[in-house]
Amino acid sequence: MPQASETTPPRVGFSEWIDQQTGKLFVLPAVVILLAFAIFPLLISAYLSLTKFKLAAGGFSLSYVGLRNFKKLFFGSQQYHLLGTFDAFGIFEWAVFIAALALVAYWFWRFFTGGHFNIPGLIGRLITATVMVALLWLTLATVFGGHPGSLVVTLFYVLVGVSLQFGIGLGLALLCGQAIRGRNAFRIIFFIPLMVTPVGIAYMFRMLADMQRGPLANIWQWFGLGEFSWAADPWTARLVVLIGDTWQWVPFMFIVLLAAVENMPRDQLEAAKIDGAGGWQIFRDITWPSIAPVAATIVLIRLIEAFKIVDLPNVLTNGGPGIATESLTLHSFIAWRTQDLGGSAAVGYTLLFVATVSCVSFFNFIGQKTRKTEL
Amino acid sequence: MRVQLKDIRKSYGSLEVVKGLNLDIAEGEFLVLLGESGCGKSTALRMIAGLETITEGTLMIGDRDVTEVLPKYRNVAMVFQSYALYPHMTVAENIGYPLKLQKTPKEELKRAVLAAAAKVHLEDYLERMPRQLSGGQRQRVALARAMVRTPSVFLMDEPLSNLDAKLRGVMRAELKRLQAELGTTTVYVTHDQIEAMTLAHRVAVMDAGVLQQVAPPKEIYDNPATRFVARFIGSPAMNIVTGGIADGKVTVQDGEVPLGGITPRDRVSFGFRPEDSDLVSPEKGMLKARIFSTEMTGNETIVTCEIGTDHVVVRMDKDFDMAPDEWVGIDVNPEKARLFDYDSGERVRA
Amino acid sequence: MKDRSLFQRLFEPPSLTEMAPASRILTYAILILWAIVVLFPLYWVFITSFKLPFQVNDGPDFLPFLDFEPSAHAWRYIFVELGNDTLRPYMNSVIIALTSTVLAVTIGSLAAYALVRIQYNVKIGTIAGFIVLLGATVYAVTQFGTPWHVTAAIALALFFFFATSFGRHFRRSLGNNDILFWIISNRILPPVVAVLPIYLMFQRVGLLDTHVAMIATYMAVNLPIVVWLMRDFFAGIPIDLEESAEIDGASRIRIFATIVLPLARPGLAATFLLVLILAWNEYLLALFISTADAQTMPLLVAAQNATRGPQWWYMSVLIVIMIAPIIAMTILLQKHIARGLMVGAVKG
Repeated sequence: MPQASETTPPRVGFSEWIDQQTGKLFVLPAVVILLAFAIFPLLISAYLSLTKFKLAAGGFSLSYVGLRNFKKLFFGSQQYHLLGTFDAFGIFEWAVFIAALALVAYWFWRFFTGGHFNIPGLIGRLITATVMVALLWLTLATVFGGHPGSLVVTLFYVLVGVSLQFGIGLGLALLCGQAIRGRNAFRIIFFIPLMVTPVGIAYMFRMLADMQRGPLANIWQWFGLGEFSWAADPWTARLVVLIGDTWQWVPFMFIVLLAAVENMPRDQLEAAKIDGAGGWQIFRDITWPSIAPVAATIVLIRLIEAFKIVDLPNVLTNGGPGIATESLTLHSFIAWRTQDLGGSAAVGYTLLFVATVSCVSFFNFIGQKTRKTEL
Repeated sequence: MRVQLKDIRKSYGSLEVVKGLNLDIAEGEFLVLLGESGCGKSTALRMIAGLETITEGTLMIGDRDVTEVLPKYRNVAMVFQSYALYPHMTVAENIGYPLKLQKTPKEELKRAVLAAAAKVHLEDYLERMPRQLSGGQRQRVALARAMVRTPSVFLMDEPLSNLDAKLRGVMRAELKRLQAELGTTTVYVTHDQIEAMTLAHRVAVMDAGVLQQVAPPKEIYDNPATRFVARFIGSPAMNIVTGGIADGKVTVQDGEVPLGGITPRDRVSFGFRPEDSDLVSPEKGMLKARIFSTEMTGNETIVTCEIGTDHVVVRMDKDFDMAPDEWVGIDVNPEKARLFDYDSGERVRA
Repeated sequence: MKDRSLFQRLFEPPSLTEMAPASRILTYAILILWAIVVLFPLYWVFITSFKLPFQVNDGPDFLPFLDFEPSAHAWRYIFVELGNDTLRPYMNSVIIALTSTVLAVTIGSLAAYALVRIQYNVKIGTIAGFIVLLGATVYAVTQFGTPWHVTAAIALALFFFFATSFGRHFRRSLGNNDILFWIISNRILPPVVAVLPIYLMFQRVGLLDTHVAMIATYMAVNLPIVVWLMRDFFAGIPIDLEESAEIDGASRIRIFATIVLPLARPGLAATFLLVLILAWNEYLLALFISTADAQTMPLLVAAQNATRGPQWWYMSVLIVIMIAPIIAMTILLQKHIARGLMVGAVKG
């Protein structure tokens, strides 16, 4: 039999050939589109970040300048914009920084003595530790005393925003996961903000935060803040952006965590109840371990998206006062608007680097751990 | 401890799933709640555990009315069908969890965990995670976790049904021995009649939320209180043929069976077990039937016959040799035959 | 049970049927508070759209008819006086969001299905060759000024030659999971990095500020999400059905169209809605690629500030008409949209 098929291969008709090729035809469009709109631009962007852009007759010209764009951002005239204005470390900053270093050292010690030592793991940890320590140093050096640049402001939106959203979302999900009346109504209401256009949210919160004409004006006046302008103070401006972002993204955490809470294995819950566990013990020993993988995943998704924040700061505060609320994406956009394409691409790449290292680190060192509890 | 269910009802909205359940379970008794899925037996168990509210009635554990008491104050232990092990805790932590919640001192907890693990032969697995265990081992962890706190009642919800047939037999034997050793009152829910018959001191058969009969296994088998119990217990099931009673005889479609001292009735369900009947030649048998199919199982032959449109099963020895469609006669042992009211299904006593 | 401590009396249910009094009050208080936090801003925008300028400027008025007399002047201005200036961006948004979503869902579903059911082996050598050629093409275009289409054609020809001749000699290859990871990882890529070259690209070919450019871009950025979500939906379809159809003689395309797609309908709906909303809300890419003709609603709303200062009444009208369809959809189809989020997050 095998010989027969070797000598006379089966004839392949056109329709059969098509059928065999469908596998390739199915993925090809997606791959080509992503190559054209993601990978190709990524490479061009890398090139752009190394050039100087000039409008020329009938188009533009690009001249290669090496790392000058990055140099300008990190050490030169644009340093204040990306990294911020530095201030000398005080006792508090040193204390925090040394504590963080000790934590990192402990983390490595655990890794070395844990029995799972390997070279890729070491390299990964070194990269993570270096970037995290550098970001912490930058934060400490600019937030207390100096002026944070767009990088630290972005980190602020990401870290504080995501933690806040996760905390509120989890709390609401736990409350809503109980046997309460009107659960469905709450679920639908809480879901709405996620779908509202961020630009709309930005204006909405500008109206609400209007201290003279907004709905809370009387309260502000009562506190003697009637003449205060939140838009003129860096931290209140950032806070308003953060509130808008939180208003939008709590629903995402809420709806997914609620599903996780509702899908918890009922038997485990009941077993714990019979074993004598109270509310807090049930949360700590049953609920949290069972929703942790989901929690890690949605935090990762939010981290990825949060680094891209731009609509809210742009519309709410236009990046102001000064550069106080500028995120990296907005920074990049502003550079583009001033014809500084090289600088814009360099900022974009900085964002890409920080976002990738953060997300990958989170995934590897935190996200993976939660999966171990699965039965 | 003694467990008493007094006229317990459970409804979800207008749907009543447990309709007035009365049970008095003695201290140290092994009671099995038997029934098809959806008959309310699991709901009854969960009401004893405190996982479901009791719509109406009273539940007593010992001398205490626990109808409204939270599960954690009932001092009951439950083994779930899925075992409900905590996946992120080791075997030792799983077993010790109930004690940890009671703030038992560490040393004492350790000792209790070891003792419980030893009873189910898990001493060597204490540091494993549940996912590293086989089904049977997980089952044992669940048992140990139930035993560790010396509860007043064990509640078991189909604990063996996730195991394969062989392991189920082994675990059944172990379970029976453990219960006898500990002497703890046990309520056990199952749909498997073999489990019920082998494990129970008394079996409680439920159907559609109504308790049909509570009795020791042998009694249940020999003297089913209703037609449902008769059909439910035994494999192959008891044969039920519809007929009438006249002149001290049960008359069915194709023959009659003489039974002593019975009052005449128009319609009656006449029941007899496959092993209490015999196939003879068509002329001699009390009932006339035609062979439908024969199944040789190794040590016996199960013969299905047709009487009119009814199917009747007779147990014959393994050498039985007749072909389908042949006519035969069926002889029934009148001593072992049982009569049930056609409409209510209640037993009709001679 | 009688001697319960105060803490127990407050926080422990008195019986099986009731919640503990304190927890119940707290639960409802918090949930209702958050419901107000969610709804009040929307309500405020809605009533502001019916206020006259002086009513806004005089300070907060909360209740229409009681605190202030509602007026439709802002609505009239936006729809009648501005007329086409409002309707055009609105239609742009509708067209761009719908078309790009249909395309993304179609192309993404095909890829997701293929990645679930067909085993791929992409030789690493082929990919390396592709990247080298791409780099060479870009270098040639930028450095020597060769016409880009000629260079691209040569590169493509070289690539196919390379792939068919040398490519298969490489041992290492990428499987389905690698492809999938690659597709999804595109989500990490901040749009601002990709949009500069896309901007230059469309400028070169003269498509800047057109529907085509917007649709293509939106489709591309949403493609990874579609692949990610649909993969899970497809993986949930029992393979037996497809195998039985295959044995019955159906081709892959036929199986996909007649068996897989109907079964994945809930998933398709969820993905479609989610992507549609993302496209409808998108702001940054529109900011780069469209200026006037292809301007979308978010841009129009954002531009209000620059042109007229904070004229809340007009802005409110625009926000209301921009978010009303989304909110209506959310309320009606909440279950379907949430399912999309869930699959993505829960399976990871």
